[in-house]
Amino acid sequence: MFDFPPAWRSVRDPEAFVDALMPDDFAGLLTAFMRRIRASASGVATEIGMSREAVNNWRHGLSLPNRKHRHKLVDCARYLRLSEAETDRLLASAGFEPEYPVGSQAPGQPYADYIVGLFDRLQRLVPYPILLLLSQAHWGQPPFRETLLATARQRYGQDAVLHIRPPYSVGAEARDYFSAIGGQCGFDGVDSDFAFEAALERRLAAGERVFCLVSRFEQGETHLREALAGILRGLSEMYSGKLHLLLCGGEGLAELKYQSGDLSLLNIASVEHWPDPGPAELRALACRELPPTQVDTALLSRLELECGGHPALIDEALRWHAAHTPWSGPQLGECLAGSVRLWESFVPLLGDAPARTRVEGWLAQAVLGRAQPYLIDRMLRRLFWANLVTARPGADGLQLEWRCEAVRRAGRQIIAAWSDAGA
Amino acid sequence: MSSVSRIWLRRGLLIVATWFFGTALLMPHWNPLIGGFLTRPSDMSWLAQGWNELIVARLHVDEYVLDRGEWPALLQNVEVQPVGAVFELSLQPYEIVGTVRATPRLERSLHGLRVVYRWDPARRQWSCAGGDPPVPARYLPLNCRADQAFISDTSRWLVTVLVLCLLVLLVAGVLLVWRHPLIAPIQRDPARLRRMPLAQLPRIDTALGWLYRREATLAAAGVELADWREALRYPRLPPDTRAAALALRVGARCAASGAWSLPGNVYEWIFSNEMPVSLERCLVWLPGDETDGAQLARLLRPLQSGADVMLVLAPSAAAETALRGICADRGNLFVCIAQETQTAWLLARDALPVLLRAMAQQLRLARISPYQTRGGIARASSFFGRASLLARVVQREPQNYLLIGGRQLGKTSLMKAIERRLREHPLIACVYVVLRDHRLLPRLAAQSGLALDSDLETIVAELKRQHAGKRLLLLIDEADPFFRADAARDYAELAAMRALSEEGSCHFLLAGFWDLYAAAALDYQSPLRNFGEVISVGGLEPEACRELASVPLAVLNLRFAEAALVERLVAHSGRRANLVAILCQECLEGLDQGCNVIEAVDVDRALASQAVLDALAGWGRLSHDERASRLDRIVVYRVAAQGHTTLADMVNLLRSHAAIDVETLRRSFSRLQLAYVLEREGEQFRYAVPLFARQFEPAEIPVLLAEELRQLG
Repeated sequence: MFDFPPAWRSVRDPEAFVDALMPDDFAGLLTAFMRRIRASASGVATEIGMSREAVNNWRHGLSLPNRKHRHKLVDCARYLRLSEAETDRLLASAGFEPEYPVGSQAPGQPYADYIVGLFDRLQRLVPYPILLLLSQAHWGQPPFRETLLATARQRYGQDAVLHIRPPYSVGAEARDYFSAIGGQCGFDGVDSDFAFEAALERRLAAGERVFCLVSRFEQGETHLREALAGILRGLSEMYSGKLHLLLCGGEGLAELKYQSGDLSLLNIASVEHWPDPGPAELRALACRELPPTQVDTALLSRLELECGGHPALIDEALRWHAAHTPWSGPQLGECLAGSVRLWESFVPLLGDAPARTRVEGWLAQAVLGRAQPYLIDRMLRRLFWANLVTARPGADGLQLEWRCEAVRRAGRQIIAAWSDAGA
Repeated sequence: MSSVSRIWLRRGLLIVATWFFGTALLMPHWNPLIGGFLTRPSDMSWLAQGWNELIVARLHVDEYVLDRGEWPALLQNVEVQPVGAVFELSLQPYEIVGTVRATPRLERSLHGLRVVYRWDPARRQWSCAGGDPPVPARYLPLNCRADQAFISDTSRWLVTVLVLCLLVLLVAGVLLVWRHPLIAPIQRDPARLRRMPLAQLPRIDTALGWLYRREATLAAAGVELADWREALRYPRLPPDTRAAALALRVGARCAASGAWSLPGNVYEWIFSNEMPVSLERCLVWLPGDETDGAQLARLLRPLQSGADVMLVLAPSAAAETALRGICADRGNLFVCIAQETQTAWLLARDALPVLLRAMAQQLRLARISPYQTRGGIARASSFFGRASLLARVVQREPQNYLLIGGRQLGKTSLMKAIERRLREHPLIACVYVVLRDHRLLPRLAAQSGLALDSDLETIVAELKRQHAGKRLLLLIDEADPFFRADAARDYAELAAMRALSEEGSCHFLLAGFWDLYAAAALDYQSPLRNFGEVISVGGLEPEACRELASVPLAVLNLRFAEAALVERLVAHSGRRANLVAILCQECLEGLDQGCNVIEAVDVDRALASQAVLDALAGWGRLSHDERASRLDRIVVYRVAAQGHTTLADMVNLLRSHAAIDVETLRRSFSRLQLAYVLEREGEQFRYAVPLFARQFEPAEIPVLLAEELRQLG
């Protein structure tokens, strides 16, 4: 699971709210999450394509989501602006696999070197140390958040690290929004964007070097997000080199970076993509699920080959291995191709016939094209952010490839299923 | 010359010198130089007999002349034998010439030499002199010597030896200067003074003082006397003072840094904004003077300095070898500041290049890149070109301006440059404001320390008060959201700004992109039309591009292999300043360790890099109107497919898909030109940046175009 602050301290700390007061059962959790953003049953039902009665049955504990409706629960979590931990908790309470399996590991060894290098690169960005850390689906935003924060505290000092988690509520007022962010930063009396700016500026003006991690930057109200970006940009310019920013997000943040000219903060930011796990990371992840004696080179090679660095598939492969030692024949590939999480990523992209035709063509190819910082083709872009394709080094630089054979097999199966259904 | 030959040559010279000086002192007659000047006693005594022959002849002639009153025609007339034992005598008019006979009793060199006695009939006196060739003066009787010197031969010999000794001493002195391991190199090349180890400076100073060459050498080396004296004092200063002195010379602020388990002292330096490379701070370690190199190396290896560069000041020349071994590895962030470098640091007029070159030799170049690839250029040293645009604002009376251009084209950099130029202006004060949303007045009020609901007049009055009554030029960046919002309110705030500027107390420079341009240039009803002068920001001047590509590299002692590479880089970048900087940065990233020349292969790699593609992305939504953005994309894809397009071509293309009027299409072209995506050549529109075409795969262009056309309809 993703690691979050251990105890709930205030209403301005929404993530901490989870551990302290939330019930454990699905109905109680769903009710609490809905109540937090004042979401109605009909609103949730409309958003996820279910009936209002079904949602009410879930809330009242009369039924649990059907096994086929895991993706609807993920949509529900998105609508309710749940964090990675909350999403996984809600899924677990309904008996589903977690959505963010790998990044939710407790702080430990995986990616420790990468995180150190990440801070090195951030500090080298002169005069504007602003870094966008983009991660594909099933990775947290950011993954290994506590490790990131711990490394930051080691680098910048305990008190110089701020962690901003923009509130989830879409209906938040500016006052509540900045009051919450101010509280997360330990600023008292923040009741507006200007007050937040002034409080942060006071620290910078005192000559302090401040590191600010913004998780899930892309969520929340657009104009409030832009106001936050504007504040950070302005202070970054005014106190050049003093304010170090690490903004974390996924597809939405990339869209803001490359498709929105008004957010100058993102114009001047450098981009970093969360990397696929290498052998060292795979070993560390495997050791969390399996006895160390079972983690050998052959297992890691197969893990790399079969899962292609996909965090959810790695999680499922390790679970499969734990349950069916040893792996045999093509069974694992078949199992992974049937992964619910893989299908949930694929199905929404294949809704119309032209998209299916294009994807079917690509499924026959090993290489989908040249990788670019921002993929112009919308369908390729969606496949990338759904973590179905990845950028790997090729003869002519980075090129787009399917994550692994299981992904291609799943794609073919879904398209075939659509054809069979006569759609 | 081989070493064996050199040894034998040296031995030969030593033998010759020993023989020369030995004979000069002990056996002068054997000395080739002074032997010729000495009188041999045997010759002297034999010649003394000869003088008698001459005196006898002279007496006879004298008597003859007195008796007859005429000069005798022959010696026989006066009864003198012409050939004596020593001389052969002959008579000339009024002269008796004695020629030394060739006898074995005399040295061969004296054979045939002559002496002449002249008769003066008026005074009736004889005079004596050497003939032709003359008998050496030292053999002549005293009354025959021309100089009439009374110095004896011994004295003459002693004087000669003395002069020779003086000459030898002089030569030795010259050799001492020219062959002295410390002084000689400096005398031959005074600039070497700045590269001598710090510990040797006192000895050099003493030697130069003895030679009375200190001032002249310092002047020739370009070293100020005050710097020289500080360098001499430096090793004796306490560590804090030493660190502060070095920091001052590179424009850094120095503060002690605690919590280090290292012997000696560690400091943190914060560099000023004028630092020409991307290094805002570094750590500086002054180990104790007694620490040896091996110990330093052991301490450095496990040391984690975080992401900060650590300068290690070598305490002695002996410690340098071990330190250099570690610091030469560019994988770490340690920089060994050798003793010679410390000298250069203290003696150079500008110490920053000394530091930068030391870092360039020991760090990854990307770590200290002189290029700023993102955001407004804050360092004056990184800003190139735009001279005419700057002059339009800085060298005129204040007025309102609209600074228009696409993103990452240099609007913010230009505003910061204007702010820097006007910073010390006696009459004008610049206030730079970045808008983060549409709220201009609250932003200005917050910056002025006023209540957020203050009106513009109050804010301007407060700002003027804060700037001692100077006329204000407000530089407002990112003004597009403000314009969109103000347009919805019938430009109420713009009207207030115009009123203030007409009063002359405050002027505005507003920077933005399409909303600003559309209101100022395309909307004939907009009050912005006559608000101020429009300044378009596009590509950088070609010469400025070349400077941007080469001058920052020179700071690190790097260069392009040939000028054509710079031209190629500039041409591919379309003269976009940020692209030139990114390309140069990518070239730096690709340079091998120790290499300081950028070759064609490095440029090729930079042109194909992901960083370039990243900088080019972000043109897909130039307008807040989704349909307008889609039209922009269609135009871009059309150019990608054909290499160019025209208005007529686009009209033909769109006719069958959607009803797009020509004016909308023209606005799209204007927007793409303003964003520096397209440039116009006659009727045709092409990519302004040749690299732009690299974003598209040939196979995907028809698909993308068809998809956008479908959605447009």
